[in-house]
Amino acid sequence: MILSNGASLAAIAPILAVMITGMIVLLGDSCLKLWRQAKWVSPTISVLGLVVSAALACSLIGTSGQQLAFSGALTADAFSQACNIILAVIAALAVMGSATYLENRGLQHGEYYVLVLFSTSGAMLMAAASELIVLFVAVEILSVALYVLAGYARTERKSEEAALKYFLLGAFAGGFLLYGIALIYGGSSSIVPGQVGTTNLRALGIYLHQMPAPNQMFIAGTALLMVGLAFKAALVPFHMWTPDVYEGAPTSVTAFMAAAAKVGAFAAILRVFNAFIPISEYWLIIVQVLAVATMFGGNILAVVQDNVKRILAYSSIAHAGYLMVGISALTGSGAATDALKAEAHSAAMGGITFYLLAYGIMTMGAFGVLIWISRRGRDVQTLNDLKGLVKTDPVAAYTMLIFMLSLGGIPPTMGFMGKWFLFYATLQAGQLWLAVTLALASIISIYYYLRVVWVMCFTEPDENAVAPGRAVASGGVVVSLIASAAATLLFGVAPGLLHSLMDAASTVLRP
Amino acid sequence: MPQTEIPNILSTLTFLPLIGAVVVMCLPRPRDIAAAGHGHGHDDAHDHGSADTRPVFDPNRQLVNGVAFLFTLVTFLLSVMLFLKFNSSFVDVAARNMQFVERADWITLGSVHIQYHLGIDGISLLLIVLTTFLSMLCVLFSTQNKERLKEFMVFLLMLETGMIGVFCALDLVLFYVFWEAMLIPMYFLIGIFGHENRVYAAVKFFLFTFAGSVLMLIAIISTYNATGSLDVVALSNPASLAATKLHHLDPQALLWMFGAFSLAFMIKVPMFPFHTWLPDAHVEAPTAGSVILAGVMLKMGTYGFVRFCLPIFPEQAQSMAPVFITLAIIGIVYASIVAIVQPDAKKLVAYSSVAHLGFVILGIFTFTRVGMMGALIQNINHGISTPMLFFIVGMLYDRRHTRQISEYGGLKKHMPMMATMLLIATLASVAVPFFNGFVGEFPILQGTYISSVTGIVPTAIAATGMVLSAVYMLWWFQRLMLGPVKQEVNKHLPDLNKTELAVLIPLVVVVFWFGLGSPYWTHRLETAVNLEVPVEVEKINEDLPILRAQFLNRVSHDRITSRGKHNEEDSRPMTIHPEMEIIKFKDIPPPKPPTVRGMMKAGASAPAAGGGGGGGARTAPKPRQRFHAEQPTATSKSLNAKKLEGSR
Repeated sequence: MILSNGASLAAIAPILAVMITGMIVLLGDSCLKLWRQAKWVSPTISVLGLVVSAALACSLIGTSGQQLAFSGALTADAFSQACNIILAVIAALAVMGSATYLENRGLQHGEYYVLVLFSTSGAMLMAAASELIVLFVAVEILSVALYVLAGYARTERKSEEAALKYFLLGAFAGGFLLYGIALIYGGSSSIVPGQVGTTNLRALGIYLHQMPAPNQMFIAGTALLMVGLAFKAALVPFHMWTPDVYEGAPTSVTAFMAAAAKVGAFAAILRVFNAFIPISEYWLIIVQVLAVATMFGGNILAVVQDNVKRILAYSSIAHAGYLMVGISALTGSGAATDALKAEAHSAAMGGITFYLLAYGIMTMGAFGVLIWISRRGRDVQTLNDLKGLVKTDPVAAYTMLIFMLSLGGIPPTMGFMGKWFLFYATLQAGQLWLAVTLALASIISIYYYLRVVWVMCFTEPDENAVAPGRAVASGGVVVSLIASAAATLLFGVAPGLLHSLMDAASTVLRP
Repeated sequence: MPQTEIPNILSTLTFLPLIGAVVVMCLPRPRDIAAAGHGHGHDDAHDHGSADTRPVFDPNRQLVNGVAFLFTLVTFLLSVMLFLKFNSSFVDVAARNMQFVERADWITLGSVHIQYHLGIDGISLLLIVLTTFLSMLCVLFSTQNKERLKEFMVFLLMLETGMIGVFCALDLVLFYVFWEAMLIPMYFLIGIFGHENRVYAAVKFFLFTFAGSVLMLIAIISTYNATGSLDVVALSNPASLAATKLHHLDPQALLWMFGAFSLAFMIKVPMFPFHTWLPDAHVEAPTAGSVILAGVMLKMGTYGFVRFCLPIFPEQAQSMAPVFITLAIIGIVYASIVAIVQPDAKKLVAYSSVAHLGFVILGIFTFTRVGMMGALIQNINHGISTPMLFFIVGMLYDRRHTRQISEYGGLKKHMPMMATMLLIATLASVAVPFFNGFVGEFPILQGTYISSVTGIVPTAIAATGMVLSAVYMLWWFQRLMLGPVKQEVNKHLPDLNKTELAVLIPLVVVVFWFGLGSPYWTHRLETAVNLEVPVEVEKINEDLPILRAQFLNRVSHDRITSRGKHNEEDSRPMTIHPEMEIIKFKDIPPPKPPTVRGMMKAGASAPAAGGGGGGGARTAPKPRQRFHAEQPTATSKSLNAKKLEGSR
């Protein structure tokens, strides 16, 4: 159903709410002195805006169906609303955590929240884009804000390095993305003779379905597109930037970047590859190789890290690998009949959506604990900083435990249910070997998650550690931690509460 | 018969300890007693243990101990109630289904339907009682802990919830959730409260178990994809739709699924090539942790075989039985030999566990009722005698802070009570008649002998395990307790204090109760065993010259007995209560043809019966027995039922 322009605006109201909030905060912070002086105003307004956005998305999710907005440039369907909810939740958790962190580091400025909101809206647009050009614009909205955020602690070399690295490689990958889009445009013009080329995913899906024999230009375009998106999603071997950027960026930015950018990237990957399912014989093997490389690469490299932020960075790479397994399951390549393929497709859509939310919440939680520990003025970097945490700060240690178990996929946490759904989808799709690979990879991952736990809980505090200073106000991060810990456990025990999210995902149909 | 007065008794039982954990978590934190931490080795030789250093009165400490103990006590009493209410009738068809069943939709998402499905049969019943019993004793023993008492109690209570859940769950995913969730508190018990190498042991324990179980998860989901069902009961019933669908799969695929399930359980048991985590975990764990590990956790592996592997994949289990039997026998002999040379008291007990569990697996995979029965009894017995050994080693450690056997010697003179307790535990572990161990190991070997899967050579090899166990256990006892006192410090060790006695005495009672009156416990297993190994599955070696006639007789007898007893759709024959047959054997001197099979079974438990007619629980009148032996037909049904009512 193609909506009129007015209805289109209403259909993307959650995205608009985030953008408008961003502008309000930008203007308020720069124009009103009172606003600037009261440090709590910007984060509060931002959280309110995100809550409004999530509420709008919740109200739209049931009625959206498969709406096309703005002449098909955006797909304002139920899946995009589900992504809006996930992203709004992540951004709200991030904003609450950031308020504490920035206060500690003396970086508390209004524009931080503006950037977070803008990049959130970019990620939301990525999830809604059904036109490759819009997708590119959305990626840039997300990325440019993140480049600035990565270098937000601008007096620190590491932060500067992270920003520059991210910017250079991001721009490079953006080039790949754009080149790929151009080739697809050119290649698609010959799919249907006499037709002008198109970059509309929906139209491409229909063409490919009718004539699943694309020319080489189209294939090359798809490959380049894949490289660009793989960079954004930090898949091995396009992950090189991730650990350095995650380590260098301020922790609150790292948290947001790890969660939101990945959700946005995977929503986009899902859209693109869903449209390209008819030609899955060309890309499926590459996706599977990427998935295996990413799972094992991320997990094995994480084992040898000593820096907590780097461990979490590699862990986020590994999780991208798990999600790629879901993308591979979308095709249902091993399923016998079309009905089974369709079932596998909807199971994979549901599984990926659930996993994205689970991943977002537990990543925000894990970084949130690091922020919370640093409330006494010691910035947590290495595992040594966590030594004996259970003695000095038992609540933080046990909260971290919940997120580590969830990331490792141990019940009764949300991470376990997420893995369950991914396994389920993969086996539905008849890709047993991939499921076994995922299982083996997650055995490796358990080791480093347990390592964090044992450093916190089984060792004595380090004598040389920075003496804990005076604790500063940490209301924001406490709220965000309670929320994410509760959600991790609650949805681990009762994932049925998220049924509307999963149902929404299955509105994205196999072309 | 109304099954239960408490609604949802299984859920209550499962989650009560968890509630306890939350309550304890909210209590104020008791002060640590600084005197002796763990892992200080010989430095603390002058600390004469818990009996001397009476803790300074700390109300928080008392509160935490009291609340934790109260919760485990109530859980234990509930499980006793469950035990008494359990319908173990042999004629009531209801008793052959799962009992106390609770069922509700848990997760319904898309095409995924996972149920909250609890229920128990005789096999799980005894394991649940064992779990609550040992948890209670562990909490009691751990009231003496010096450091981080509150956390210890919280983890112990969480662990109890996980363990009971594993034994109750009848939905594969629910089972998996409990199975995995249980690892976390154990990881902490070993990691925080263990000895020098605790981190290594804790991580090894977690990784080994996780590696096995994550592949099981894939097998679970594959089962679900193939059948659309996660219901263990349906999958185990060959007549059900789910099982039919499952067995239509490619045999190769079924074999892999069976393999994935088995791997998880083999690691947990642990069977021979996968046992390496066990000595580490046992040695490094605190006493309560070792007790729970040996007493309950290892049983989950064997329970898994009996509950999942055998009923869901019967053909695969039978075809793979030689592999399991070989590994079990290697495990028995190898672990026994390794146990002999251990200088570390705890490691010795750990290796003895590997050997004992080898016997259990051997019994299960003989596919005979005698063997299966023996395996399940041995499962429980090991859960009584080995925890006792670990408790005593723990008490020694608390006094001397060393586990080296060579540090001790001659303790009997100054610690007569402890020496007595240790002797009882040792003999129970060696499987001397009158003690509980014998009641289990004998039928296992008997089953191994008569089974067509094994035969005489494996029996002979496995039987050396019994001899070897006498070697390592008795020598161990001798080195610890007998001979001259070599070390001055050992002369001043205090004997058992009240708490320690309170922990050990219930175990002693159970050792003898089981050793002398085992039918009181085991007749609750009988129905489940008969369902587990129906006659058509039973692999009796019919070439054995002496036994052949008896067994042919037995089979036909079973078929006669079954006629007219059950509903039509229920074609599985039933055997007669072993208890009756024991008495029958005693009371009717010249055995008539039907009672020949009584001899066979009586052979299994004759020592028990010979030991004075059991623990006094059995008051079966003679005439009924005779009647039953002569006329095993439909008329015996009502009498049988009456008799069982009477014996309760």
